[in-house]
Amino acid sequence: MPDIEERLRTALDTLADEFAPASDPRAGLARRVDARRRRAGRVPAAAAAITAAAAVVVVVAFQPPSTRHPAAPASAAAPTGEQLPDLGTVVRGGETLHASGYLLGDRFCTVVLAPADRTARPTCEPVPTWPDGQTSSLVQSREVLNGDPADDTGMLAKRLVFLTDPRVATLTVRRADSIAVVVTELDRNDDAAVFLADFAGPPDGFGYTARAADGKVLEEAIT
Amino acid sequence: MNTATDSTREPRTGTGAGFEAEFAALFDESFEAMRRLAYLLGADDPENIAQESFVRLHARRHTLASADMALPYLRRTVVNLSRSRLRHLRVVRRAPGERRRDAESAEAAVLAGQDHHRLREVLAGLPTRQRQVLVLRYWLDLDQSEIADTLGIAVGTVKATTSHALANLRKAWPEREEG
Repeated sequence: MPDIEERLRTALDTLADEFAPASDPRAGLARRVDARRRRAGRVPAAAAAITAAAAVVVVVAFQPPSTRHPAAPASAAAPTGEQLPDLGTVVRGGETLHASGYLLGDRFCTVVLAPADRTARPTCEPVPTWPDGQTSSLVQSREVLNGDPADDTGMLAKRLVFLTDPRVATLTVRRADSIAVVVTELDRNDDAAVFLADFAGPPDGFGYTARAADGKVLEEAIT
Repeated sequence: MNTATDSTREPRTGTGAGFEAEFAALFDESFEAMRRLAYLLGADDPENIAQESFVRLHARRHTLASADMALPYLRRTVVNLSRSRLRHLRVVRRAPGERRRDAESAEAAVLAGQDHHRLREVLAGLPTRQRQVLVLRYWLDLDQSEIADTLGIAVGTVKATTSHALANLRKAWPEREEG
């Protein structure tokens, strides 16, 4: 009987070899690189608009671009769990459902998980292209499932999702009355980190501090 | 033997014609290996994942500490994007009617007794981390340290996960009697 490891090597090689080569991969790469460059060229204005609309006062700026990411690719660890990150429970018409939010490459997706015999349809949005200037934010907040008016419990209305630059290792959030908010890291990849803040009440006004892995404050703001 | 572990031709980090030429060489040499890695990890869009991984390497070349980080960065990105994609697929394919056609054809191959197609089904049933470890070890021929670096876990965890994965494999992938 062949050793299981040898058999595994052979079968993996066979599986990989029967996968037909791509027809014109270089053309696809060129298109993507061009698109990324065009997108990057639009960043400053878009980022400035977002910052102004959110009326965020950024107190502490961050380091120069050349020194900000030294270890990012080397430590691009992803969450190891296979379960979808939990945003909270939604009760609709007496039925208890679970809301989840997760990163899919450079998109952030949210979904309400219906019973297994029904289709779940995630809603995905692009994560921001994080800015390289000193005037734009590394942190963006948003309502969970847009506040989900169909949620009978109102749990989700007491929570906010924070999408941040992947360099943000920890995020602390304070309510307007200075009480600390419970913050959980939901997901992380090379494009972004996602945090969930539970305000235990309406999140009307808050402050936050975003820190790098070495504890250095990257951004501090009051809304 | 695939070329994805060959670290003798990797680009310098930075910009300029030198980088572009070496990036192109790395792309020619490793694109298929990265695409097949995504495929073996169970992604349904391996070409997209391989392309995206190279685009990210290109965009973040300034952040690489040294030239020999390029290939490990690619491997990590392919693994992370594949894992992310699988997780997403588990959501959108919860309804029985959304099973993919290739999954059905794979099942037919399993019934036909093709060993490597049986393996594909077995791998799909393993926990994601176990599948990753098996593919990185037995297809990419990475050592335990490289696997640990790729997955962002400790070497001890790699050893334990490999052991559990092989034990599960022995149970779920028995050898068939000939004739």
